[in-house]
Amino acid sequence: MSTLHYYFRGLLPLAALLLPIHLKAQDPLSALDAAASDVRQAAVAAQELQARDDLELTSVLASMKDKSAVAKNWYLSVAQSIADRHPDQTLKELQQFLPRLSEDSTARYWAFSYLTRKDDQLREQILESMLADPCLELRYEAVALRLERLDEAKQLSDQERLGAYRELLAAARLPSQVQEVAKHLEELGQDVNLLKHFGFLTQWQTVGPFNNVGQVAFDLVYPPEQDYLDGELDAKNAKTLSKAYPGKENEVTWQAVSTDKEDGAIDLNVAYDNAKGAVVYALGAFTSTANQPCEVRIGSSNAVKVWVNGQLLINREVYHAGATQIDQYVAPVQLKAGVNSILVKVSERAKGRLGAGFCVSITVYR
Amino acid sequence: MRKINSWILAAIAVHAGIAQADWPGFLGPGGNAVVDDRLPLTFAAAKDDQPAVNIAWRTELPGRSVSGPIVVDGKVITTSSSAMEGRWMHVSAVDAETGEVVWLRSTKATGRPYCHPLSANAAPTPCTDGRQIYAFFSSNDLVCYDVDGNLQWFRSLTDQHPLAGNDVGMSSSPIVVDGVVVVTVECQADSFTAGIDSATGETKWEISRPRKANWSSPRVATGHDRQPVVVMHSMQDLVGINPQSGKVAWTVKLPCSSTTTSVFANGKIYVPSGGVKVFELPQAMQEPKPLWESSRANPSSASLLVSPLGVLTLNRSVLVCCDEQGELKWQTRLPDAGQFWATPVIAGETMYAFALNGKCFVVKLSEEGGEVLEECELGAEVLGSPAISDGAMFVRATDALWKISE
Repeated sequence: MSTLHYYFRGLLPLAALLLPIHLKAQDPLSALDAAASDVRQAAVAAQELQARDDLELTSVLASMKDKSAVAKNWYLSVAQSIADRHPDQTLKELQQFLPRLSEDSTARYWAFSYLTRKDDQLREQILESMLADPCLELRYEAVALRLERLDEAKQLSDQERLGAYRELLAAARLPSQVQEVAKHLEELGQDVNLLKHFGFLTQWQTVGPFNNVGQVAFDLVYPPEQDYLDGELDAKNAKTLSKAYPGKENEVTWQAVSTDKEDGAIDLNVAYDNAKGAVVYALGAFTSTANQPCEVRIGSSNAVKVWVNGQLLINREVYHAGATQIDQYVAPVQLKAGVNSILVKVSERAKGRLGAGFCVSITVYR
Repeated sequence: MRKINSWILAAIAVHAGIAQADWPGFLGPGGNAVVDDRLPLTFAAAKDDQPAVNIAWRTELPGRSVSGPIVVDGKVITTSSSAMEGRWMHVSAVDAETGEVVWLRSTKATGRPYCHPLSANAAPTPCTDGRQIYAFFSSNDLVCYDVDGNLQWFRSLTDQHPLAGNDVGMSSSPIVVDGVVVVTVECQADSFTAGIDSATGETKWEISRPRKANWSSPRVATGHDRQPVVVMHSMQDLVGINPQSGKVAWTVKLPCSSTTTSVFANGKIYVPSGGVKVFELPQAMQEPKPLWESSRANPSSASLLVSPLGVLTLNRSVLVCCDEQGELKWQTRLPDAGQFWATPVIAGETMYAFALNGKCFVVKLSEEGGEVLEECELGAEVLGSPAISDGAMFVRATDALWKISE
């Protein structure tokens, strides 16, 4: 069993400095919300809105909050048309809009891009204060800028560098950027426990292999999966894991598998003798201190299904050619206070890729 | 506007409704990057104390691009992607004369933008029917602007196909034919080809495709009946699709290249398939007839070209020319070329082949052979095929757009 590390990959927004703008009851922008389901309707609405001269840029941007990813792009088209008509006014308004941390991240990043598109100095000046920004893209660029500067700052002592990289390790969210910062720290002699930093689940009970030759088994329910869905399996209780199942070639039983790799990868080749065309199930458990919304994240070069507390959250029948990527698939999950169960079904397609395994983390998102 | 080699290309232009597009999509007019134009035989970026040679302008644009530019309405249109994971997608219109950015529009990816570091979310080359621009991205986002940069519609194809995508990024370029934008997404999971109404952005039809990664692009071909058919290939088939209905008109079982694209020229389809296999297409909706094949002409990463001399392919750094029966005419090694991803272009009797390192081989083509006239340096990464218009070549480096002209 693993204890959930509260890895704050999500962010804690600070209180907004300014009150968000509230649109009037008859919100002319609401027609854009149909964008995801009706492109024709959204196009008509957008073209009408793009032509209007009575919309405020900041109102349009403020309206993007909680809208779908597709709808946000329609909102941006309206914002862009206002910006085209009133370039000077736009700069003033965006300078006021950008610091509003509670506004939509896509809207704020667009504002940042517009403001700084011809002004590198302003870009760097703004990014100075963005290391803890709730917009992950702004934060990413702020970290990237600091990394660039640290590379150039030859005069800094090792101690000063250590301090700076530690700050960046705390700020970075994108796995590749975290790994880059960790590499710098390790070059300076500081060990970084990425396994802990990313909050990977390291202890699993696994059973297999079951047959997947010809990729027949992704949607086939083998007995361990049924037992899990029936609530009969508990990773904490060995008695529930004593059952033997008919496997691909022989009878198979649960066995403990763990990892201490930095990328959290559970190597299934060792446990399953390089089995090919196989399905393996991995059962885990973790503790949450409260009922709370979180995210489950998995990376795997094999096809995977992931259940938490019996609910299927990730269902990806993709047999990847590349290596396992951290956070390849992410799904929201509502955790319960106390012990939560997780089941991962790994389906391999006769390429010997069980060794690439999978890596799972549960992250708190605020 | 430059002259186009063949009446067939003109017929395709009519079908595609091309009004003012000089270079309307991947591989130019008719989908065969061979035009009758005259470009400088040498050019160079400014270096140290040396001034630039035959460089009209260079315009930096946001993010990274491995797509090719297109030319329409006096503007060069190019895509790029930037920010974390290349999630922000840009379409820029640059004045072909001055290099000034006329408009730049940005949207955010709704699908998976992940790709190999050499590639980018902005990998597919956009296309145009002369009125609107259709830009497709690896994240399966399809966006349409008019030539003035007004958003006409936006589609997230990920909405209906959440599994579509692969680990190194998608790059198949869209085409537009008779009011239908055709996009193809072939990967290890959810593979499909879709026909999108160019006026409304609505899906007209959709078909399933083989679940194998494929980066090649669909093409438009016409039979003697002047009817257009969408031709595309995969690692297991060559198919012809009715662009209006999406009905598969014919299928040839054939393992084809997953990287390079078929070319339609002179009434024939030239297919990269362990070399080149050539088919005659008498009727658009009837299965084409095999004519000849050659294992000598074997394009590796860049697509083949059909010139008046014959079929030209770049097999790594060896330029091969075969005649119209598949017999080898000649071959020439391009010295120290490194890797080619960008499909070369031919203007008149001269080929321009950009290697990944930004070095451009200017090769004079003749019956006797390919003579390397110049090795021109831009000092920039070039992965997209250039565009040609009015005696100028527009080259999309990963970070900037260049105009090369006298």
